[in-house]
Amino acid sequence: MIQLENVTKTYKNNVIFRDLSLEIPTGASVAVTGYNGSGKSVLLKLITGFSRPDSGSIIVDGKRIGKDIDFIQNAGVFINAPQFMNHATGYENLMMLAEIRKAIGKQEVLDVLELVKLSNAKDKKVRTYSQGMIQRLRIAQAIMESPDILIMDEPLNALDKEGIDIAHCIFQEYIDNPQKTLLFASHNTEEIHDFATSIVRVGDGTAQYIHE
Amino acid sequence: MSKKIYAILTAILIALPAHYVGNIPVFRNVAYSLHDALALLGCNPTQMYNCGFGNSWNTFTNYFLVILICAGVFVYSNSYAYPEGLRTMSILRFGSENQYWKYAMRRNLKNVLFASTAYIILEFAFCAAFQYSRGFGEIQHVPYDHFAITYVLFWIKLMAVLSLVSMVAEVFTGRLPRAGIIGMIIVGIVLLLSIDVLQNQTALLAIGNWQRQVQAIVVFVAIQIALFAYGKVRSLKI
Repeated sequence: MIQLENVTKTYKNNVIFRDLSLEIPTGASVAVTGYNGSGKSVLLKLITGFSRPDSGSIIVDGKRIGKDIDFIQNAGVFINAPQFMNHATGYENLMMLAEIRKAIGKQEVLDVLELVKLSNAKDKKVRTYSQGMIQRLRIAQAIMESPDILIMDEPLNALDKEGIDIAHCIFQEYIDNPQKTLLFASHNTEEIHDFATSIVRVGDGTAQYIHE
Repeated sequence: MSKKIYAILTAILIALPAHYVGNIPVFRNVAYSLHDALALLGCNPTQMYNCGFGNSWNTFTNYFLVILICAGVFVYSNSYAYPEGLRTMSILRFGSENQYWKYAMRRNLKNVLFASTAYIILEFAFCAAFQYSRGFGEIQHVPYDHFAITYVLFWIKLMAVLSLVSMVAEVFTGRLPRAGIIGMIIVGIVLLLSIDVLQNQTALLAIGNWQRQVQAIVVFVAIQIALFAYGKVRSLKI
């Protein structure tokens, strides 16, 4: 369960959220929508702990971010296109991240590369990857440790038809599993209807569920 | 740069006579352009004369610069200085920035220890080989006196300056482009090596007596503490 309680966030004298309260239950698949600059990414950053609210609190699975924990735990995240080490291979990049928690090993990293259809390019340097391949690598790093919560900003950007099909399969597992939560920001109506069981619209200093 | 390549490159550099490496014009000019400028500024004709003719001390200093560049490249290329986005993903996995810093520093220090220790061990090994083949008193490539304390302090000084390189890489990654950071490190090393206005081996990185080396260690550690404090207050980017 993700809970935002009376959250206020301003950025350069611009109020992004004013006294925002929102709950995202465990097992939900929630799309965050809104016009450009409305605060979709800010909402995701607040939930992950990468941005701190001016006031109010954010609680994930009973732990308050900034007090009990610094950042969200057991979550796969990509917001605003994470960069990789261009001079390292896709496999090496994922291994560097996997070695931190040691929750998974080489075989699991190879499996996730197979899942996103990057096995053939695993030993190529990331600087040779296309935008679509980099997006697949981003998805791979987010899901490789099988987190309970998946948080992504525009996950289907730059993906071709095959990439979108792969993402569909991966996200469907989250949608079907009542223990896993999927939260993503998107402009794409088709993407929202395919993956989201609920929609949160961000704008005018607030974020609220809409019913379509 | 891998450990193997670093060890091979360092061994080649040590095996070559100092005057051969140190007299390469590029290194001589890089090391002494700033030094010459200071000499000109101070209108010190003796110093200007010394700068231009590569006396033995100059030669050894340039040689030392080559070694420093080699070790600096090894430490920098193996540092934990990720691109900002990947660093953020790492911090998320560590759970806190403090854990990230601990892990990064531990990893970087291992590389620093390897770079400085490999250099010293190779230096001693080649020194012994030259002693054996050419006889005592003929060693030209070791620029230090024979006191053990000087070597120990030099080893610590090398670690201090190399860990400073990795600290600069960590702190400025994501704020400056990679080329900018490398440029900053090179200019810093050249400055530390060449600001020697008394022409008496008083530059912090110059080959000096043990007191000079202790001073240098203190200064390098202090700079690192300041950089670490600055790095800790930097805002996260994602």
